[in-house]
Amino acid sequence: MRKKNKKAVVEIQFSWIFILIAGSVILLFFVSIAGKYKSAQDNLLAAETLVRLSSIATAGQMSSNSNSVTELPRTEIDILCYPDLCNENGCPTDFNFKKSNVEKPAWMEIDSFFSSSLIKDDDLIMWSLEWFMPYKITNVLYLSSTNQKYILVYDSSGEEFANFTYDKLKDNKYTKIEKISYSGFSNYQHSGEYSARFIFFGNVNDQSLPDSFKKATRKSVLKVSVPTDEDYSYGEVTFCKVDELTIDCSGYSVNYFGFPMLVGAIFSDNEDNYKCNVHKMFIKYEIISKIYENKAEDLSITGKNDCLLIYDNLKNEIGLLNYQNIGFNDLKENINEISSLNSQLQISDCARLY
Amino acid sequence: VQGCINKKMAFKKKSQMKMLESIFVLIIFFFMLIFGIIFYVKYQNMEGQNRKKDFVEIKLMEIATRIQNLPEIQCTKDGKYSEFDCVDLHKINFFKDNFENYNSYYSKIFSSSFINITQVYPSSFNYEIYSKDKTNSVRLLFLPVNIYNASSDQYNFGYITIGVYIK
Repeated sequence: MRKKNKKAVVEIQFSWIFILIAGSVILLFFVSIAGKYKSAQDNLLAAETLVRLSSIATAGQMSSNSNSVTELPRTEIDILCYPDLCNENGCPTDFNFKKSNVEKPAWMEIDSFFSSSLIKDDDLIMWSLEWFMPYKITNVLYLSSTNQKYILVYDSSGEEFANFTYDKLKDNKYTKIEKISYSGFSNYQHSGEYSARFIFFGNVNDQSLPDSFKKATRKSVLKVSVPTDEDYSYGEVTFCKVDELTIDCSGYSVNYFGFPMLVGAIFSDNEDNYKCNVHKMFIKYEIISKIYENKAEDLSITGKNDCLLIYDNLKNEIGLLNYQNIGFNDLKENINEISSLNSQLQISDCARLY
Repeated sequence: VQGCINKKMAFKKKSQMKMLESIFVLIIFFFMLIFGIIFYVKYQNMEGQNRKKDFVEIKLMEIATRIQNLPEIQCTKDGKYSEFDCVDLHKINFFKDNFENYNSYYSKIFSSSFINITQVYPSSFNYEIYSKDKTNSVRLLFLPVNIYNASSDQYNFGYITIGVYIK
């Protein structure tokens, strides 16, 4: 009787151990399936986001001043570019979508798209502008989100330039843009956006941000120098450092060529991303200049006699265009000269170069 | 004694039956699970194939949109405006002669594909302006275009052939 009881106890214990082991194996199996399913879904979401991003980039190349907002749920994209590694085939760009393993799209290495280094929102805003030097080079893309605000701050010397920029930026109807005078800047209230970018026009550098921005997650400052000749297409910008509320504008200064490049500096919160995209723009510029130089040469052989000299001059002027070896003012003069020679072709009843 | 042995045997048989029953339940459970997984994997593979087809179609449309709006080959009007569905003969001449130098750059947007420009009227010729990673399977798209010759100020007729290679 006692022996039978002991056997029964062992049998019950064995059953429980068996249930425990089998249960754990089954549970582990389902947990691993759920884990794999989740990572597969994350990768799928990232891949779909990439397809949409590529469509956005293609749409941006289609027409100038195109502006759209695309819903991308739970978007958190890190974009980092390495200007020191740029070469004639583009710039290596790190694209990290929710830390998934999705491969970055190759077009990112050659298409210039200016954005902050972190985009965190459910909506992605795309805007594009055409860049002429003096012929069309490319459509430049700008990416931002509804969780990002751009605040233009001006003093009396920069008011006109700030108004001009504000009016142009307003073409991008989905982006939050505000313009305030420096006199009211210290009382400016943070309206809760994830990221705030201040753009200073005039001599309003080396100051502090308003106290209401103390707890703002991301804040950055760009200083735009006001050109003396009121030609806002060419000038200089400085990427300032922000430490809590203190601004230091003794950092990286760079020239911009054309309004789309200035807008690029406004949309990039990091000088590396700006440098990279400028590099990509100039790679395209060199390719297109070579095409027009070649076309001018062809036309100088096949064109009318009256036009040959103009085509020759155009070929020589375009041959001089090399932004790495040419000074800022020389480039500006060179572009004006090409533009004037092209108009001369039209007056002389010759086929225009562009 | 015999009765006791019989009872013991019957008890042992009952336990073995119970054990066998449990093992059968587990076998059937895992069998159904494996069947379910195989079915799911096959379904996912089919979905994957469909996605791949969709991806090729999307890629083809993206390349078509890009090529129609590429300043490198597009005709321009008044210096500022691009003419839609028009390519400049002098610009494509440049690509015809230099396309191998730029293949690596343009592979970032055109990836595994080829792009040919064919003029059919008044004279006919065919220029290859891009090609990379050729395979036997290809999905084609034809786009009719005007081919502008600035030397003669003449618009000729032709088409662009875009082929996306399927791996």
